[in-house]
Amino acid sequence: MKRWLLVPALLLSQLPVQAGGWSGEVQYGRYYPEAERWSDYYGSDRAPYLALNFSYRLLPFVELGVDAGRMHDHGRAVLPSSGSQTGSVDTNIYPLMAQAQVSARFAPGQWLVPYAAVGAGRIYYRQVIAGQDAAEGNTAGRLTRAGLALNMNILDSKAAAHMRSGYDISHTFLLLERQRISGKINGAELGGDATVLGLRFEF
Amino acid sequence: MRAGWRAGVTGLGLACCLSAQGALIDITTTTGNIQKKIDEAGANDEIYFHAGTYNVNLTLKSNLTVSGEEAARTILQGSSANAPVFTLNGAKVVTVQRLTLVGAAPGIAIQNASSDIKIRNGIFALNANVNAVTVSADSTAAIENNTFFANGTALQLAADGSTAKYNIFSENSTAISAVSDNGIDYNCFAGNTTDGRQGGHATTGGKSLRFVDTTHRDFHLRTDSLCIDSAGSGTDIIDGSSLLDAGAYGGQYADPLPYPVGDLKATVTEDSNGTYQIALSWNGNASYLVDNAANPGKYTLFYDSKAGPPYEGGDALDAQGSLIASGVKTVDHPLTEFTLFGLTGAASVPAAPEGLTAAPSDRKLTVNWSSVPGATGYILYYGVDNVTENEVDTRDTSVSLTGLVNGVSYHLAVQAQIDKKYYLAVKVGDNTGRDHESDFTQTQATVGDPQLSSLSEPIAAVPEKLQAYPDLPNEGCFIATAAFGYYEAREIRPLRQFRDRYLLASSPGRAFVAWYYRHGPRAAQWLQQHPDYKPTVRILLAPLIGFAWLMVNYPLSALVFMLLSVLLPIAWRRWRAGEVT
Repeated sequence: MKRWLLVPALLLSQLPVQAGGWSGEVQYGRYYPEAERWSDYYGSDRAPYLALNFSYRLLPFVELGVDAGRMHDHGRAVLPSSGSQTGSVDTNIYPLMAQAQVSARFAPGQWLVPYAAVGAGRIYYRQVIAGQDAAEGNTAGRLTRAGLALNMNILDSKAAAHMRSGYDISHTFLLLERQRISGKINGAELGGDATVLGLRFEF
Repeated sequence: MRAGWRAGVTGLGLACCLSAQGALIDITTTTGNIQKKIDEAGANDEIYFHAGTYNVNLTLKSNLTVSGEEAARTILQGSSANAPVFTLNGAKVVTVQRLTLVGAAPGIAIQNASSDIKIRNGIFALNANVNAVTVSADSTAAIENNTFFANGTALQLAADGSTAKYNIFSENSTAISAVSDNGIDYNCFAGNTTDGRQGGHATTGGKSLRFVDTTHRDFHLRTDSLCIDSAGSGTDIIDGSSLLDAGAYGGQYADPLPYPVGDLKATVTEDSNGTYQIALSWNGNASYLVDNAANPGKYTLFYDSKAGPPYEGGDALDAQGSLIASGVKTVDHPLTEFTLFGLTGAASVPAAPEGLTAAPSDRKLTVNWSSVPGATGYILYYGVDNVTENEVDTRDTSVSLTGLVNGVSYHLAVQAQIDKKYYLAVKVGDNTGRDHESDFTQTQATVGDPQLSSLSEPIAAVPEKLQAYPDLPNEGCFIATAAFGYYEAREIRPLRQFRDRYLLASSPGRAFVAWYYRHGPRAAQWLQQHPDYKPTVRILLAPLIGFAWLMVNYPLSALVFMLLSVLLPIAWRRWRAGEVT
């Protein structure tokens, strides 16, 4: 039995990344709201999306953290009596999720690191129609993320050394990621898909 | 005026010169693309600018006349201050006359082999660093009877061949920059930093050429101006003199209209017999053609109880008690005041307006009502708590109230009024006996107090609440929002901040918020339906809001306050108990 336990322990000790250590991500991209008629009211089926992510490496493969995002779009409201579009609406959606992430990092010189994450939390929103009360609230939400991380240290070892000595950043990754955010309130869909580019800094 | 102009010119035996006259193209301040009008004009057409201010940079083509209705009040300003108002590139046979040019650099640029160009009876007041008129070496122009005031180089002639005659140059950096004196004659110079080429028969004097009012660009000449009759022999269209005045108001093409009187005031006072008088006063016209002791010009006063012109008079009396039925009274300069007597205010009280309706839309109510016989105006009252919170004066029976809050109920009522208003105007005429009268200067005065009807039957209306997509529920402070009228009210913010910071941070707090979100909307709805209770609710909420504000901004002092409010009554009781025993 002890021998069986020894094997995974030995494997873990050979991994290029050890448990412990923080990382932060900043991501920017496009949010594609799931609400079907979004483009009818906002002029486009996409909106800018900014997200920040902080996580702690609990195990070499596994990180736990928090992901916070903001989607903002500006569009037109509807006059219910006539159905005509008028006025202006600003809709902001703020997903705030606790998440667990798994990364497939096997070798020190690995260029590409696939990763995936799942999370759960609240989706906050604030919707402002000019000239009347704002609607704000929150609802339960879920998050799934998957992407590829490009190890920048390998591309530019000089810069990597500088980042390490100057800022204590051991690894820098360029991320290309797809996210799926789910959440509904009173039947209104707040979720959507996001495609983001980002940078990940490991301390 | 325009017809009078042409008749006057023809009457002087110049019919020969107008035979080839083309179409008249009227330009007003509402005309869209003026350059297009110019480009589309036919040969010998006249582009005629009515009095007003125009922001333009125009290119003139050949065989064209560009005229202003009145030199002083037809103002062309460069829409780009770094480009000419008029550019003539290789243009032939062009006349520019009776215009004031400001805010351009230069005022007129004549270049690229332009020829047979006449610039006359204009006013150039651009600014101290800017050339007024430039003529390139390959072009020629006749610059006659213009007034150049406070420009950089007023006139820049790059070569011989052009003429500069009968002009006034005052307070320019350089009056005339030219290669020789050829073609420069009978000009009037004063107060320029450098006169430059003066040519023959120059008149020079002190700094002031005695213009009437340079601030308002009234460059008519005062009685003692040295430029009167200074420009040799000829015919002045204005007074028929055989000696020409220099400047914009001399020669046979000058604008003959006097400048309108300024600062017309009407003061209403009540007489002892219950009637009213209106004392009118105005600034006199200081042009030498009006301000002449031996032969003064005159002022004509007009009045009417409805807006004019025409002004058809009414019930006013003069100082001798004679009825001025025609509505016209003439006084000679230098008298610049006149009083109308025996005026009566509104007599009858109008009925209250009926049929008040309000059509709601986004942040807007379009309010209509039926007109009331005899009413001269209406006052629309509207408000959230009280109908008299706001008021709008109007002469129409329809008002659009904008900037309202959607979903909020507004109370509306309207009141009719009858007031007795007099419309007054003054014109000034010169002393030439040629019917040269200025435009009207107008004002109005209300006599007596207006008679007001009672308020109409009030109504309530709600600007339609818009719906957003997706339609997200609001979990805000319902009751406070209803009490204070709208969600973004300053007073409600501490409550929201308190909820987010303290209530949502604990499970009992979240349970309270959930309970409130279930029941709050019903209470808020009740409050909307019973607005009389809103002030009471606001008072009841005040300590709560104060506490929330303290907790958000100064949490420690809020806790101390809470502690004291518990401990002090206990201490007080104990002290009282000890005192009794």
